[in-house]
Amino acid sequence: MIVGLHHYLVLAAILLVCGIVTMLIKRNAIGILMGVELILNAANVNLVAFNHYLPADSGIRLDGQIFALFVIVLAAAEAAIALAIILSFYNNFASIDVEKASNLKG
Amino acid sequence: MSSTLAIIGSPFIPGWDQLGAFLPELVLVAAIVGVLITPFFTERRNFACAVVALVGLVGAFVSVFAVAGEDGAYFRGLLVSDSLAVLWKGLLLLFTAGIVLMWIGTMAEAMREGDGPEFFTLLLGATLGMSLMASTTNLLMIFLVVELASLPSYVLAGFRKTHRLGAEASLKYVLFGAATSSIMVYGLSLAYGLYGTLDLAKIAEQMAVPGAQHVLLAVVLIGLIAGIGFKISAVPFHFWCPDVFEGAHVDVAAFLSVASKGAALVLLLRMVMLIGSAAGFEASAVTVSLAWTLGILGAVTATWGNLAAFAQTNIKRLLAYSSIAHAGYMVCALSLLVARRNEAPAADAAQAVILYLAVYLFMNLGAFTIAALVWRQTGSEQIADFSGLGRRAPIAAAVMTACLFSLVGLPPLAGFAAKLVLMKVLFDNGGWWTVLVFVIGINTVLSLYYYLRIVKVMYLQDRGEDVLGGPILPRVIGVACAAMLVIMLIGFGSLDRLTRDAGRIHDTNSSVAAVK
Repeated sequence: MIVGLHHYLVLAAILLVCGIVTMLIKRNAIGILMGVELILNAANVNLVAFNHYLPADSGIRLDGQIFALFVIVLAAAEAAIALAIILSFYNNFASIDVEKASNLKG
Repeated sequence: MSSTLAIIGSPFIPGWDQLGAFLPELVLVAAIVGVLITPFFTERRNFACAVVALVGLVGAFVSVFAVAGEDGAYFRGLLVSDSLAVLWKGLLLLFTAGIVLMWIGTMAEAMREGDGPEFFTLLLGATLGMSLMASTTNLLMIFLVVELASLPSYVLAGFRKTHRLGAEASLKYVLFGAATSSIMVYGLSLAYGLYGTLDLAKIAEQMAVPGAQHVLLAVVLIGLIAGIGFKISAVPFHFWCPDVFEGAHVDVAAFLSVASKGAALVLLLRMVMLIGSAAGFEASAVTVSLAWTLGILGAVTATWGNLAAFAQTNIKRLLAYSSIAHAGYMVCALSLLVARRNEAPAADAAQAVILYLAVYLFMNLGAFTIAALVWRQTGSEQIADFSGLGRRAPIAAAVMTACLFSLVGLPPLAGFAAKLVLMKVLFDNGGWWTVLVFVIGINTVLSLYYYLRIVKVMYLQDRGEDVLGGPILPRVIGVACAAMLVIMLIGFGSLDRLTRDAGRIHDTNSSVAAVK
């Protein structure tokens, strides 16, 4: 079987759906964060696959790969900040269950 | 190019000669470094950092005037500079300087000694991201600057580390923000695949070709609206806004209410404008559906924000819903940017949004400053504790009343002119935009109720409490804001001429200015 662009796109779509489902059903804050990472990786698969398969107008096409690198870096930064905030939440609530975050409403 | 940096000489750095057009951002970066090294030289670290941040912001504001007029695309089209970007940067830096002054006047004593450097680093970092949000049309840069604005905001929202509500607010903010931005990146990756470029101007051009619309374009637009709608707090992406405003300190809430929403609105304005102008402002499948989406989004956001504000007893929560409603009005005007025959109505709508933002800045800064003053003196954020403010603090109560009347859009204040211009632009286009005018009109009447309720509590209820003392600085800021509201109404004509070019954004495709 020859692996083509479509295979990558389907893989990315499956990752996207997995990520969205994870975000929707998880009650654990770190679980939701994992769902976010899945979606970001779905975008990365897309970007790198498109970069490889799209025709280059002039010279070499690199923008998709550069974009993917930036997404990886920012995903790490976002995870660092989210984990710090989750830790602060844990210090106050002794739990990371997002159902507990129900003091603010209305 | 008459670069401001040219006099310093040019070391071997690629694009060195183009940095001059982004002098305000460079000054902000220098201010961040300054804030980080200040604690080594002084004992009063918080106050010293506030002064350094203020100097940096004022310096950046002044340098905005130096870069005005250097229109064009820079760094191979990654960043653009035009009058829209310059106007927004000026407003944003002025506003953030006001926030720092407000912090000095009201919140400074509540902060633990030594937290100042982190606070101002985050504040300036978020400001840097928000100022760059106004000058990019590249998908990669859009993602980077939205994150650069978001990540410090998440931490700022949770800056009250030992406070339960602060922790909860920042958790909701970061999880919701991460979710929407990841969906936005997925949409951007599909846009890259569909059009083979990251330049939004080129994408808009290809989008305009009849029959070139792919079904996946819907996913791209949903992703973009989720990512930017979250920053604007448009319904249904608004859930974080009231919670974060209630959980965070007043100064952070005030900062997010104008800076974060305004930056996202300007970014959306630029994107929609590019799509509209590439399509020659003709009705096509993309522009019509985009205009409808924005119109419905704006109308629903405005109505939802106003209805939810009715039941609020916390002043920050009420102002949060009020800010959602005002964002809704501005999104309504953005729907004009596509799907009309020529450029003029679109340019008018863009100008109306910028003018609205300029007025909105002062009314929100004034209202939040008085809320911060009351919080400093009484430790309460409940509207009920504003009772008798007309007697206890006449100046503060008068300023609050002026800002609230301006938020409603009542005549002797600039909020009236801003709202009138917005509605007139919508009305002039006829068609289904007339419905939006009615929606905004009904919402104005609705909003009258909950804004006037605060005024009623301040002047007609009195529980015989002591005079509200406190420092003079927040009152000065408040009076300055209220005065600005009157001055802006009187000088609305000249303001109008000043922002005439706001709607003519830099387009890398059609512009005379060559890509540098």
